[in-house]
Amino acid sequence: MRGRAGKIARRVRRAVASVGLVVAVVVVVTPAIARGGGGDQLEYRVKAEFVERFTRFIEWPPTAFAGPDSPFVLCVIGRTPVANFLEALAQSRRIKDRRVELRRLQPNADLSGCHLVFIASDERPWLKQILSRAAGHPIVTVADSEGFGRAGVLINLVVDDQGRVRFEISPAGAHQSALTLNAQLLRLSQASSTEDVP
Amino acid sequence: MRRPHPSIRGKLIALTLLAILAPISCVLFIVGSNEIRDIRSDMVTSSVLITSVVAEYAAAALAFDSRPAAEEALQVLAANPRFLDATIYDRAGRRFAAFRRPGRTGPDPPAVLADAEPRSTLEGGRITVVYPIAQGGERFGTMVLHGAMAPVTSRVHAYVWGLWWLTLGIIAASLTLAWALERMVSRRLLRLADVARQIARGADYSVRASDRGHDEIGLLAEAFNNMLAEIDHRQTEAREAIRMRDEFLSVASHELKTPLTSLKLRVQGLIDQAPPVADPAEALRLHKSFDLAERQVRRLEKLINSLLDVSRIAIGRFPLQCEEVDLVSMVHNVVGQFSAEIARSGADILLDLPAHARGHWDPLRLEQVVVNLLSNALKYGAGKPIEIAVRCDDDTAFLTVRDHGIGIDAADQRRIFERFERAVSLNYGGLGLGLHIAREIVVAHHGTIHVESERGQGAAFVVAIPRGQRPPAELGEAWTHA
Repeated sequence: MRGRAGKIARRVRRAVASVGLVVAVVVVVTPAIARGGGGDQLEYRVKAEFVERFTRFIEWPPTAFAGPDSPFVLCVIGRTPVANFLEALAQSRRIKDRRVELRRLQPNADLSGCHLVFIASDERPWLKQILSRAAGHPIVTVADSEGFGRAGVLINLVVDDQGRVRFEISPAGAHQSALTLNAQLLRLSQASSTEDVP
Repeated sequence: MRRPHPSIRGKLIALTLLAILAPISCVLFIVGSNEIRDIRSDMVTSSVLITSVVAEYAAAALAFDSRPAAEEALQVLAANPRFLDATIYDRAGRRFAAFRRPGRTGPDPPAVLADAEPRSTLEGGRITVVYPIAQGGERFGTMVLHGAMAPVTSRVHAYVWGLWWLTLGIIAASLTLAWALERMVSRRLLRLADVARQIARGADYSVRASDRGHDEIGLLAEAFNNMLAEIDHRQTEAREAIRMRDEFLSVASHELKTPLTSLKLRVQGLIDQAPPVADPAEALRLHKSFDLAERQVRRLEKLINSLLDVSRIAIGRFPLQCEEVDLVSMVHNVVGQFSAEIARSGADILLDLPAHARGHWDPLRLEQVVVNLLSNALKYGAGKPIEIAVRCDDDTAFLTVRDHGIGIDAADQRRIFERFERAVSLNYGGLGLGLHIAREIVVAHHGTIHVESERGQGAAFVVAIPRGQRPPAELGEAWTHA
């Protein structure tokens, strides 16, 4: 009995994995984004803000930090306007009660010092390598490109039809590594995702 | 039957009520107020708890700006009817999401500043909880919850009702207890009092208290019964002594009467048959001796007659032979008979008499009354004037004999009408029977006799005696019950 149930569960999980990821939708503040004209800038600022907020709902293991004074390292791979806002944010805010250090990295760079990696859309060719380098480390991967979620990025920011920024969380990614994702964060994405998944 | 006030029953009820009610109400009050305080604090705690849970649920919704998710989080409150409304405000103090119980009326709750301090207040039957919505050290907004205190109120009502029923129960229990205690104490005492009252009414010392208890009241009843037995015993003894005395009086007076009659005849014979004596001095001496002998015999006869009368009164053999009598002429006669004694005493007799005062009386007995009162007045009048007055109305004749002698103390005025009683020392002679016999005769005629006197101011004996025809009153009561 148990064996059969386990088999069914595994099959279901595989089916889910094959879909890639469950799309989570979050309704977001900014109707202005869709209106264009500086709207893009607002979109990137909101995305940067979201990135910062994700850190509030995610716990890194203590081993992820070298010491009590070591910074929270925010890495950006590729070129994206979000990076500028992240840079401003790193200068003005503290994450996990630590100062924030922004690092701009090459796609082939070592990611082991990073806590969160934002992957720009132009990095699509190297996405697999980047993700494989991040795998096994307590690193939150964030992107804002179509298909990146399915490819294995933990959190993928998207803009919906109404111009609102939403996010998807990959359940497979959520379960891996030593990161602890806040249940409400997951729930928020899942609750929305049920609406979106056809 | 008059009961003491307040009764033992009342005191028992009051005491048991106090003894039961006071500590129980204290305990109930303490337990109740503690309970209510606990309920209130539980309500506050649970309201704060649910607010904190919803706030945590809503944190992500607020952080990522999802109103539907925030409203869904608030829907948790729908399950508990005592949560009336809740509102989530964003960081800027704008209303972000709200829950309002259907049917809830009234204005929207006022907006709360985003940086409002967490607090919970109980006011006007409502609880208000203000709770920050934060995550990872970042505050995203504030949640405000309003809850009803109805459960507390209904709990208080339940307590008040419970207390009320309990009080009723306790009163009933106290009454039962007091009833039982009363059976054990009060009723038995009242029965004892009843026995005492019965004895006081009937002078029957043969009744006994029937308490069989072995407690203090039982001991009291036992002592009471012992006392009754003792009184009964002494009463019997006293009665026996009185009976023997009466018998002796009767026998003695009869026995004395017989030789007295022959003595009287012999003295009279001696006087009548005495040969004439030539010597005037011898004749005077002889006359004086005869006179003395005759007077002493008369005095003896009077004493013996008094004793006979008293013993007749005592055994109730004192028949009246009533006929039409004039009290006024009777007074004249008696004064005439007493001329020698009056002369000897030196007192003036002042008469205040109407022409007639007729009534239906026993002439011999009534004369005895007048005689006794007059001889009394002469005896104690100290030679001062004596007033005899008769007055009459339609029903009653009044006879007053007033002297101005030594008088009688108020304390003695009742006593002098009893047998063998005198207000003064024995120096005055006599058996102390005159007033007693006079009273008995007057009472037998349905009349009254009383004295008005003060020491040293003389005495006035007033007889009031009905004039009409009536059967003689029972006599000798005072004698037999003395």
